[in-house]
Amino acid sequence: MAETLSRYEDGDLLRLSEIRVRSGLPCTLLIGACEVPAGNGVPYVVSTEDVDRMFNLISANSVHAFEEELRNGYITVKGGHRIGMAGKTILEAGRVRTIKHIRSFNIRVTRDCPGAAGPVIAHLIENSRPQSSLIVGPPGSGKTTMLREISRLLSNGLPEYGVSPQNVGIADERSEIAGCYQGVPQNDVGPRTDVLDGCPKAEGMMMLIRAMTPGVIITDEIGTADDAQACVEASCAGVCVVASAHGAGKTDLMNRPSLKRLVSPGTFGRIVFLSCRRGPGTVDEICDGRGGTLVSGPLGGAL
Amino acid sequence: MTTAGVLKFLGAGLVILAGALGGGSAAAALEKRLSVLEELRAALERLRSQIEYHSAPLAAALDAAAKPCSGESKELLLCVAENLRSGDGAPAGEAWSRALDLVGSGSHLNVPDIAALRLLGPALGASDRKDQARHLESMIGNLGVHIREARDRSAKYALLYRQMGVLCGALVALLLT
Repeated sequence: MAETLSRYEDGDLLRLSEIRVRSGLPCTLLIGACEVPAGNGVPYVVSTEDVDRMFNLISANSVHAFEEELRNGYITVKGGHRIGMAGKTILEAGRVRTIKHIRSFNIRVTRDCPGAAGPVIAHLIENSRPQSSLIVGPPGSGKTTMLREISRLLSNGLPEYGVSPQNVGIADERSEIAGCYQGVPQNDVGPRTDVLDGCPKAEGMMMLIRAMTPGVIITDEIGTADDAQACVEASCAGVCVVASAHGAGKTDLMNRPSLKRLVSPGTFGRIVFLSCRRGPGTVDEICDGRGGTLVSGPLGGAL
Repeated sequence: MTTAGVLKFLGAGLVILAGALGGGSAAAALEKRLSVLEELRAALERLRSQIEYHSAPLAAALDAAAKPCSGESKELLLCVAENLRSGDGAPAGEAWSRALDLVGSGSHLNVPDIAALRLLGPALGASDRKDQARHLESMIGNLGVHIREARDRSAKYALLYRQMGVLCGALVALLLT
């Protein structure tokens, strides 16, 4: 498989975002928006042995070291790339204990996208202070990439907007923002950024506030009432919270009871709606904390 | 004493010395087996701790477990770690088995010891921490049986081999002179 990939040109590899590996089926690559079969003319059909060896390499023959990750269905490897897996789940007391007989992998290639937050960053600052912001978009719309870029920018400081370098804390429950491998961030999240990797978001945000005194807290995919409550508490503690949530627009956001309450009391000063209209990272709209439109899109896109 | 007598005396001394060395070496092999088994048991206890409490990846856990060891047990654990790092996705059992073939064959461990150790291979790194701890606990218990047997054997035969070596040497020397 590595040999197959080495045949692709650098330009294609730079646009490679996913590799799908399924036992008994051709391996496919997602280059840009096109899905192409891997192989030199003839599609490369993945064998069961390939899949088994691949799992041994991904887990470094150490299933015990990736217990939590396997429960969530993915492992983050060196370089910050996330590998999703599917197979037979083993349950214990109604909860997934692990996955056995893994037969499919989805390798999501991570790379820094400098400039991904370009269209929005100016709107997230008010009086030289970053505003608590919620980034809302459907899966694949570039929310995590934008969070990573915002972390890097705020950690470095934005002298053009009068923002001094900030201590940033990332509660990275799924190891997606910083892509930590053995505790070391594999993505550039800035020089003043502390990452709490693999920790539940709500608990992680409180731990960061208590232990690391951050100026900004960044977290991904808030969805539960506990997550929302932690955002409110962090905001009340005077910390700027930048978070993301799944949703296709204002209606979706208001239909989710746990997230709705974040909009009404004005926990967030800005809400950014993303879509894939012009590729990942398209900004559809930027609203103030109560849902009033500040900027109408589309802006940016394709990161 | 004539020159021939001196030579005979020296020769007899050398034969007795050779017998003593032979007996001593057989006794030392028994004691060495015991110490290798004891060291391996302690190393597996450290490996269990590395896996259960530190969640360390297998190769790093083996490195840490091997650190205080010396000789054959250290060589075995480091060889498994090296096999894991250089492997192309082969299962950990294969790395363990290859290391046993390489290190075990020239070691003081006997065939049943190696056969018992081989049982651990397929389970290594293939399950969660709780299950790994269970497998290692079982292997530690199993090694305990081999250690008791090695200790009994050493207590029973080490002195005997040493004395037999000297006596056999003396007997041969007497027969030759």
